[in-house]
Amino acid sequence: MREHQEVAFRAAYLVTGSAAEAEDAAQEGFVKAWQALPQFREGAPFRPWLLAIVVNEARNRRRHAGRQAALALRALDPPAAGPEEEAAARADHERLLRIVGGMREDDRLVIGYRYFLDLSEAETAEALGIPRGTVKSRLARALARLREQIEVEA
Amino acid sequence: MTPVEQMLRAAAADADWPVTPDLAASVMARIGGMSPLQAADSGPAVRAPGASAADVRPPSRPRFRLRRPVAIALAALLLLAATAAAIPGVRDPVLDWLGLRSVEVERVPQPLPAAPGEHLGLGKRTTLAAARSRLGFTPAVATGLGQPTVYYGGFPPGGEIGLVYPHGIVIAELSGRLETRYLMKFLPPGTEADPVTINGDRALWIHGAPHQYAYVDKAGNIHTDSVRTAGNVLLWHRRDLLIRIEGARSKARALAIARSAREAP
Repeated sequence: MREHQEVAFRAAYLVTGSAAEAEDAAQEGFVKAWQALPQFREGAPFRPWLLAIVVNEARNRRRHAGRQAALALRALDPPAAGPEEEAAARADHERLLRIVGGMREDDRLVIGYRYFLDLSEAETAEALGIPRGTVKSRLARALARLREQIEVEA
Repeated sequence: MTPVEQMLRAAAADADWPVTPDLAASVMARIGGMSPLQAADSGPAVRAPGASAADVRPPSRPRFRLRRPVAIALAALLLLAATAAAIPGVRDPVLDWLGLRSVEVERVPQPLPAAPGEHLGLGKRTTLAAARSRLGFTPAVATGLGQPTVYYGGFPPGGEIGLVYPHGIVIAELSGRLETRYLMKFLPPGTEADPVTINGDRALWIHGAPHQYAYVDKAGNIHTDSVRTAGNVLLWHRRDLLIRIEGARSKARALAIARSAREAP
């Protein structure tokens, strides 16, 4: 279980933007996954199945709270004595993370799964409950919107 | 990869995520330490075609008969936190020796019943040459046991070969591993697990009542399988192969068979 709790917690965090709510959602997701085991397709990859349940739980919690989440991911602090380039890269990363955090949930999830949580396209499709072709098109649109926002802020 | 994708990758590596809480204890507390094998058994529930995993709703009570392999897989995950469920006398030496610190061994009251049709479910009969041409690996063949009857199965990825020798020896090989996180043995009372060495490779000699084991195929998917002939099995991790030797009368005999194995010509 510990193997999966980080990715489950982070997936929930992509939705809730709150560590406390993500923890609750991940915990609830694990319990529901346990209870729903008979509905798991044998031989299917476990991780996306778990993530779908966890994210569903996170969505329910966020809706119940009646608010839109804004992901509050920040970039790690650079080394104190780091060169200027590192500080500049950090600022770029910070900005990108902030933009992604402000995107709508579908965009945030597909980008988050593919680039932050490193899920494959097939895993992303399974976790989102959509065909792989839809993952491609949804990701392309999300990246286009991200590029636009980067240019706006440039 | 486009520039924006490169930026995302770089930013992701730089992201300062909140610390992941340790959920194991709270989850274990909520499910009450219940093994799925102890849950009510009222038949399978199947996800409707096209239904997403998110549509899954917990049934009113767990049902585990035909989905038992999956139950075992998640049990393996959940039991990582359930140190109380482990058997100190078995777990620690085995795990220390194998280097599989997260493996748990759980005793269950009764051996798991074999599913119908599982008996020698080794695939279709074929020849060694034909099987080898379809396998994603080079199989190992025991020497000195006579000519085996060869079976080939296309599952899991990479295929599986079954070699049935005279006197009831069955050797099954697939591309997979007893992966640290998923290895799960359900040992009925009276079944023991002894760590052994085969030509420098680590292995487990499981002897006693019939049991099942879980493994991870090369695509990373979890599966379970049953010992087909008797309760005794040598599980041997040879390079990228997971090899089972079943039907040997004794550990010494199983080890001798394993050490006689050579790559198929």
